[in-house]
Amino acid sequence: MPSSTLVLDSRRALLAVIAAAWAGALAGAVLLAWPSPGGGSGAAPRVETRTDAAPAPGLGRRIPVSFGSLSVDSASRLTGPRRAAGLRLRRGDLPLQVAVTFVNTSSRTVRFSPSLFRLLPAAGTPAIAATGGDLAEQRVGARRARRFVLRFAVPGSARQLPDLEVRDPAAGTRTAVPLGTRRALPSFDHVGHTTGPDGRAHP
Amino acid sequence: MTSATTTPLVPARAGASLAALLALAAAGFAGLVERPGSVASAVVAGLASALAAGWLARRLATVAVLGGPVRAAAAAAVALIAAATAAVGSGAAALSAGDGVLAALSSTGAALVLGLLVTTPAATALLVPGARARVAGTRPVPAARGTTRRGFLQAGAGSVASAAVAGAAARGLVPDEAAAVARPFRLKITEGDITMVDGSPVFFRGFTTPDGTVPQLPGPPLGNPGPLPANPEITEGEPVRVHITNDTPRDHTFLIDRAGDEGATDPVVGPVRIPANTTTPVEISFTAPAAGTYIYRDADRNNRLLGMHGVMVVLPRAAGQNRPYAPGPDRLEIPAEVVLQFVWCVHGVDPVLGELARERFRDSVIDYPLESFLPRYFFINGKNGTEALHDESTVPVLPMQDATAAQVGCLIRCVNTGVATHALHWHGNHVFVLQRNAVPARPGLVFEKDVLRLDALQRIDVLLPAHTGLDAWPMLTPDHPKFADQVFPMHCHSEMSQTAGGGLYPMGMLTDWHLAGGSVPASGSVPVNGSTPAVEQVRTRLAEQRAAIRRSRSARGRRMRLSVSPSPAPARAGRTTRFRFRTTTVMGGRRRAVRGARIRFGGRTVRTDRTGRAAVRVRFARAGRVRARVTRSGYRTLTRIVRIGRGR
Repeated sequence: MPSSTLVLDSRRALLAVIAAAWAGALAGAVLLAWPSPGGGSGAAPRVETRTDAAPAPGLGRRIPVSFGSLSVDSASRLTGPRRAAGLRLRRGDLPLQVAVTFVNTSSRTVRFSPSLFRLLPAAGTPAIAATGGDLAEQRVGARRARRFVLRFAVPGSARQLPDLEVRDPAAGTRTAVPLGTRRALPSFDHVGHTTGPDGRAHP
Repeated sequence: MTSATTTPLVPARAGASLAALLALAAAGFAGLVERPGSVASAVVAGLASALAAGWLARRLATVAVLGGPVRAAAAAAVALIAAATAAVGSGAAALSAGDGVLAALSSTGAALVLGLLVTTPAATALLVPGARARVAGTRPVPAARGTTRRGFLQAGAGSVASAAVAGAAARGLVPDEAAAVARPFRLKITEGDITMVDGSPVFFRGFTTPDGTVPQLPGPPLGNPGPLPANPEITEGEPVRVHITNDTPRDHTFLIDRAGDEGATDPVVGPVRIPANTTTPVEISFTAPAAGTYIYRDADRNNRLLGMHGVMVVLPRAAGQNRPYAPGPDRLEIPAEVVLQFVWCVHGVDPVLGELARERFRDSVIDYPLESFLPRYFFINGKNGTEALHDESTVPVLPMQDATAAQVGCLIRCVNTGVATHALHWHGNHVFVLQRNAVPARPGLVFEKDVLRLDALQRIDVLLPAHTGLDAWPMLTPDHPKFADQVFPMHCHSEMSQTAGGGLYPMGMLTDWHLAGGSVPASGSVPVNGSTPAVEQVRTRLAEQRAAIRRSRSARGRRMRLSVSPSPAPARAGRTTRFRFRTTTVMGGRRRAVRGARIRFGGRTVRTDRTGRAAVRVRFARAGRVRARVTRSGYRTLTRIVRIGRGR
């Protein structure tokens, strides 16, 4: 036999060739019957992933809740006339403003209450409730989004700001949102409506 | 397997021809199913793979078998070779068309199995029941001669043409006019969060570039929208190709319509279905329609509102392209070319719709009636508020009109991809409407517009003259201190559109336009892109302001993520526990370890290693909540609460 001749010298090899061809044909039939990309060629199956896969809580991050989602959009140091901030500030207190957005995707009205939010300072210190901003209970209509502003008087001078605890009104689950450091806190003049150093809006 | 007889199964040339023919059939079949790529690349790939096919087929012809299922094996081998040839051609063509390695591999695999679907039954039908295969003992054929130079050339040449055509067929089939375009526009359908101007995350569905991860708002342009020559231009009557992949788990559609209606009343393209999870691009070929501005979009309204839209700009074929349309007797005459072209794509966003789309991520269509839609964010080219005042895609900077200059101002293509009617209002000058929905204005009267009504899905091209209003007072002469840089706002007169997040003013749909004085050309035409020294000075200042905004934002630092795993778990008071930490961040769309982060926990401080890990052994006397604080230069400080359970 010439050296350039292919030799199939075992039944196993023959069967392998036959099996490969027919298995491929079967796969082709399946692909044809189950068209995907370009009408059938996007053979690479893909694990379905969602882009909202459990991000760590933080400013500007979505927090899934029973009625849809909410987000703590910004935290800022209030500047300008202190009295007008509507806060009782003692010496050394930080006037902190937090903006939250409710996105109600449910078909029922959701009630916003400032009691859903509180600041969690260091262990052993009582939680801080909002004493300014949108203190009245308000409604977020079905399939509506709405923004609320809460103001806190944060005592102490710790560099690290306390976390903002968010409570889901229906499920009762609590999520702690880190607010970062005092140093990184942008400012917001609530009278002049001038924003902090990052140029973004901080209501 | 006991026989020692060695017999060639199929004559060399017959085997080669059969393989080549089957390759043609396989490639044609696969090509009918998937049609990405280009003819030029397909021919190259076809030639390369055909040589391999010829050689393999020649080898096949001298297969010697020692009994067993001889003819079935021969048929299977022929089928495999033919399908593999077509598949290799398909994959190589995909690579040369720039589809990427993964897409090419996917294309190769798909073409292989689709080809086998054709070749395996065909080869079996031709070889197994027929008498072509000489079974050992019945009619001995001459002993295999191996591959000679002549035989190789014969078999190779015979199959080259077939396989080349096969490769071409697999990739583009007939070399039609559309396939002559060198590079297609590439879009990817994706989804993800975009942070609004108030810091709120909103979920979008949309188009992006092939390497993009979040939707672009609007999607990447088809054609060159100006002002920067970043994209290939589309000229009317030319073939256009668009490759679209779909990164989402649901089907979408692609539509370009001439009319400004919700439905497809006069489509240029589509609606074309883009299947879910498409990694191999769906190719859409069409001939560019009349010069003008068009919207490409998902045919479903809610998907368009979720971000699935973009703009296609078609330039006129004749008489200079810096015009909205070619001159004609039935059209408003535009005496000269424009200095600059801009697209202002205005859009409104309802975060509730986005949240519903996030929840119903498998649904191609979201049930959200029009009356429920309440936009809270308003964009021009995906920018709003302070961003839009400095963005080079929204802010025209024009050299002051010289009476002797050939250019006549700035063409702004106003496009409304939302559902709310907007009313664009220019300060500083009036605009002239040149074209509506890609239909040129008729000759005769042309109206100066102070406020331009822009309905949903409408495209109106206007000319913004590059001089101050003729009735401006006091007159802006070169002696005027504001002459060097005259800034005028443009905003929508619909009041809600000037806000963001339900009341943040002025963070909505607004921008500026600048008239740069200084040295204007004494005569002749203004330089390309209007780049006079005065204009460049203004543009540089805007770029510096953009950079300053970016710097101040990044000063807050990148976000870190911290995971804590106590061992033994759960952590209990009264016993020493090893707490392991891992710090990561997202860079370039990937989660990466943060090295050198300082973690303060339980009175101890440790630093993370290059894998972002650190460990500390601590004993807490009491149960409660303990704070772990992570700091690192350039990152936001992160705090995590670790719960310590009661000791047993």
